[in-house]
Amino acid sequence: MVKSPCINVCRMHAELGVCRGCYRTLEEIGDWSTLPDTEKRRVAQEAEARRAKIGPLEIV
Amino acid sequence: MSGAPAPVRLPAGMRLLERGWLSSNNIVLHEGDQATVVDSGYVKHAAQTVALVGRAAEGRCVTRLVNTHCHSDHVGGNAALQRAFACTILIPDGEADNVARWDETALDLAGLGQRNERFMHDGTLRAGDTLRMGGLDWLALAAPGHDMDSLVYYAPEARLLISADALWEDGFGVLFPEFGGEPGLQTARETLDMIAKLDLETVIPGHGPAFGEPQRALQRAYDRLEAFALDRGKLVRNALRVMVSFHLMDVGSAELPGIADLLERSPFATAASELYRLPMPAIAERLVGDLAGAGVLRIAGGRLYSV
Ligand SMILES: [Zn+2]
Repeated sequence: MVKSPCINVCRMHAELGVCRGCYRTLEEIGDWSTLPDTEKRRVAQEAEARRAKIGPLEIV
Repeated sequence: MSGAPAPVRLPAGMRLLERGWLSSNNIVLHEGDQATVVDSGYVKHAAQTVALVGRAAEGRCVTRLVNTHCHSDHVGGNAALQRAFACTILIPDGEADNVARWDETALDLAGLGQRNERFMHDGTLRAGDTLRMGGLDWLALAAPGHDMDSLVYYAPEARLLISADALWEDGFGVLFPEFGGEPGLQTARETLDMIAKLDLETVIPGHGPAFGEPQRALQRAYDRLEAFALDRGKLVRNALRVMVSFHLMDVGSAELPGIADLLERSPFATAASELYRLPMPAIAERLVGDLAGAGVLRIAGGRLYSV
């Protein structure tokens, strides 16, 4: 089982279109439960890459 | 099977929005041009909940919101969802007076340092009521234990159970009634017995992914209840751990005196004093040290952080 990247921040950044906590898009969060493990791993990696690129987001 | 590479499949008209632990899962069920949502998450996440539910309705009108029980992590988005979609809100009948009066003590809010947004319900559900959601007939079943008034929803033809916090893949929600002089342990065991008798293939819990092989989860839950019955300290420590980690998830970080204050005001204060036999600040220090050791929280620069 691939662990959910959710860290319980769960607020979207409107302009960037990613969650301020886990850096997933709304689509990636909404579809998470349906994804096979390979896709979950890909989404988690892409979210981490976004975190590295965007840097810290203010948690409002 | 928890090690399986693909998630368990749900019927075509259902969308599971798997959230974290501060927010419960939300389930969106399609029915013609309408949709029902089960549970609404924590208030702090309400904007994301509205966006996720709107997307999962796939163009349908969200006409109805159904709650399994009225804890803050399951009803925190009720007001926002109603504002966004003008949906009808149905809650368990046993919670109706508390919600109507917005009794923060009875709603397990006041003593846990949790927040919520007040909402008005439009109707109630009782055990034995049936609901049509997602192309399936669902039966409401009483599931006391974690919450004395909780309902779970069972779809016999799909052999599917929406189990709320009565049964998770690994455990169940804190047995709050035990701290208010009610038989939480005993009723939780009876609820597991009730679930064990259902013809069941898949469980959608209040937190965590949907799972198959419900017998395995039931066995783990029975084992944990047994451990709690044999050693009440385990039951108390579980409640304290959940309260502190929920609080840290909510506020992000806190200092030790804040945690001592939280403990002092909580419904677990007496049980914690009896267990640790120390003054409250010392209990908080001990508890926080234990939780840091267990990786449940992290301490940096004198502050405590959610992990
Ligand atoms: Zn609950």
